[in-house]
Amino acid sequence: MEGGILGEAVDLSVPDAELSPGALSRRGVLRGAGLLGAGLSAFGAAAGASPAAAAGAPAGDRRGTRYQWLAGDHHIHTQYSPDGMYRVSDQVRAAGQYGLDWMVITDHGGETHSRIGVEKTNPDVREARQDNPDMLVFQGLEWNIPAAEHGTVFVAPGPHEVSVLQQFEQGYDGVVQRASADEALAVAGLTFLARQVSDGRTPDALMLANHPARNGIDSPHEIRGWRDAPGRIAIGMEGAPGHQAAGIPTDSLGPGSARGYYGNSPRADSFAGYPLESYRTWGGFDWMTSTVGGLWDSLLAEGLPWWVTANSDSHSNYGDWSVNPTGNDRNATGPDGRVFEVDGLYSDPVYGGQIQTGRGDFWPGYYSRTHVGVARGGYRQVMSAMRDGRVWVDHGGLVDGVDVRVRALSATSRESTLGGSLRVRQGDDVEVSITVALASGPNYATFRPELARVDLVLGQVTGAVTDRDVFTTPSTRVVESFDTTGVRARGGTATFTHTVRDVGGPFYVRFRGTDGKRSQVGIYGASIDPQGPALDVEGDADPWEDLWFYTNPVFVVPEGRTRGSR
Amino acid sequence: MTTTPTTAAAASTSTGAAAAVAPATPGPRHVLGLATPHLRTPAEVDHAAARVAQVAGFPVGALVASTLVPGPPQHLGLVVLTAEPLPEQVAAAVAAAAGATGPGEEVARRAAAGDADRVARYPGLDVLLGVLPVAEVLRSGAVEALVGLGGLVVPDDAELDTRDHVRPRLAGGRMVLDVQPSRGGRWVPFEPPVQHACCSNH
Repeated sequence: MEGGILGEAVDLSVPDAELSPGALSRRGVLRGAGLLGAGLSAFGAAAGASPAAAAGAPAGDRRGTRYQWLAGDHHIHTQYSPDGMYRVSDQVRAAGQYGLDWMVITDHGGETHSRIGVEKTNPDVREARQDNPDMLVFQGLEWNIPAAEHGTVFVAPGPHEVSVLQQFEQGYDGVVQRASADEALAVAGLTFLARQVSDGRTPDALMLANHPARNGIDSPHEIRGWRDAPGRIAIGMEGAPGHQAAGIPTDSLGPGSARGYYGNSPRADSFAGYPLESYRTWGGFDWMTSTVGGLWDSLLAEGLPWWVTANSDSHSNYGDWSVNPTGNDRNATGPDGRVFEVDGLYSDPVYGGQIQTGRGDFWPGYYSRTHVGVARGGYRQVMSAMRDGRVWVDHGGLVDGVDVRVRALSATSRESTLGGSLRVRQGDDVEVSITVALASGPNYATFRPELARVDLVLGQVTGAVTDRDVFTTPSTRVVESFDTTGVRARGGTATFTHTVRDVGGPFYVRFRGTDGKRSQVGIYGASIDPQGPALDVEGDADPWEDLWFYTNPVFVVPEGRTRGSR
Repeated sequence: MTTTPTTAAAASTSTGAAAAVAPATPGPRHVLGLATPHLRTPAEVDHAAARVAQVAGFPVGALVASTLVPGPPQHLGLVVLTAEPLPEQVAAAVAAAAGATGPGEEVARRAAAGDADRVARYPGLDVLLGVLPVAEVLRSGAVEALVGLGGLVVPDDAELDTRDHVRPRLAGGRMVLDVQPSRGGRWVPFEPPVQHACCSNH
């Protein structure tokens, strides 16, 4: 390995997006080994990780650094899924219409898909890229994680995108491998992907856990295991699942099911420690994310990166007019002679003669958005920014934008934003600010949402856990709530600031905001979360009347003097 | 395998709920724990419980319940709770009907202490149908307490839409039903009649 390239890889003043592919992959490997700051290295060092980490930790951005926020969705199905129906081009066109900039095609892993589906999807994806130059169309798959739920896996475009995905699916998909209980195979799959990156077979690969709490089968130790697998391929989870239309009441001509299709109860392979509350959505979000002091916070309290997203999981959409001509019969012959089990895809959708009100999904971009902050657009830049955690999510176009900045009052020339890690001195006062830009126009339900409140959540970073199945952290709570009802009158944009005085130990902050229409005391009580999201009512969950945004965290890491020196 | 007598009265009285009346049948005092590693889903347990209940000589008033047993393989262990010890040939027929591979000590131990994750058959199952006032549910004695999900309190005058599928848990000897809010101010049991498979069966 040439010293020069290694130098570039370890010099974190050079952003990922500007690295050569080789240097980028080396940096990924170094990060995966815990040798480089993926946001948090300074604390990692304090907690006993490699001392090399502290030297490489980033100091934050130059003040005023601006990012372009690209909206996207990493969980979208097509006619290449046994329970799907749309053409790739249908989904790409819709995503463009509903304002997305990037999207990932994630058809279900399985025997047929791994054998021919992946390969056959690729020309459709490439054609969609050509036809929609403003849309980044990634190819991926929805991985049946061995011994767990589903997860998005995707790669950056490249000459080997099909073979990397196909080899991965054939070797490591839980259904293909009939490995319903093999937790190690999941980690082996992530390790395989990391090797594809480090060997230069693909510029980048990412994995995110989908609908993680739906069936209670993503145990905390499995999630930690994916996170800690080599190469930091696994970067996070769906903070909010798709299927957000599923809870629209039948009175309103909706499917009348559970929001997100989160209506199940524990089964034999569920993690026994999860409470019943975990099987439901809360304000449309997965319990792991919606619970202040819950599973997500317990991961962040380790001082390690783990990010949340929001997606459509579009299979068949609420209010659409088209149907799968075979009724999703995998062995039936469609109008053009296609048989799913034989050809790897269904015949194209056909006009169904009536509006489809029994479906639980929205088109990509219509309701759920994952916003990724990039210096400039591009496939690798989006993936790199996702790995960096420069991500926030919203439902129903609740706000146009959020801009989170964290800086030490003694050194205001540097600051960090979402996913970042700000190094400060012990005893510093740290200013946390959020600028919200209210929705300037109507959403896709043709009304303009009004943001009522923004909550700041703060948690101490307490370091590595001894029990890998822990899913609570006692120090995280809502420390301040900002009333945003007056922001409209003030021009639609406002900045709210919270100052953390006399910083003694590492901590993180994250924000969430709401239209204020539904709330409930958090699961761990009013002292932790006085106005958390409410339990979604089965069969009566109008998604447009309960809107939230969540940001990913910013870490603050004091260094320098020892704790006793002040 | 033999039935295990225990002094812990499971589900025999309802000390906590003043409104509740003692169940019509005497509380089960004997437990038969079964090793059922093939049972993985609530629906599979219901089917097994139905087969067990059809065994000749299976006593009226018995409970058939399941509890998660750590693996491998992690599974739902079946347990039968009866007022009197089951005759040996009935116990053997029950075990056969459940497809048991042997005794289930863990699930028996927990049931003896009055705990089971999920009760699939119990006296009163056949009256908990349709929409019922909560007060009536409690009066039936089949369920002794309703617990709202996420700390929500179930009002006394609420209605329970049973969806014809009520599977309480046994907690400290009491039949407790976890419920969640539903449409029109009604409440429904936490457990749905049908689990949403959603693309997981391919």
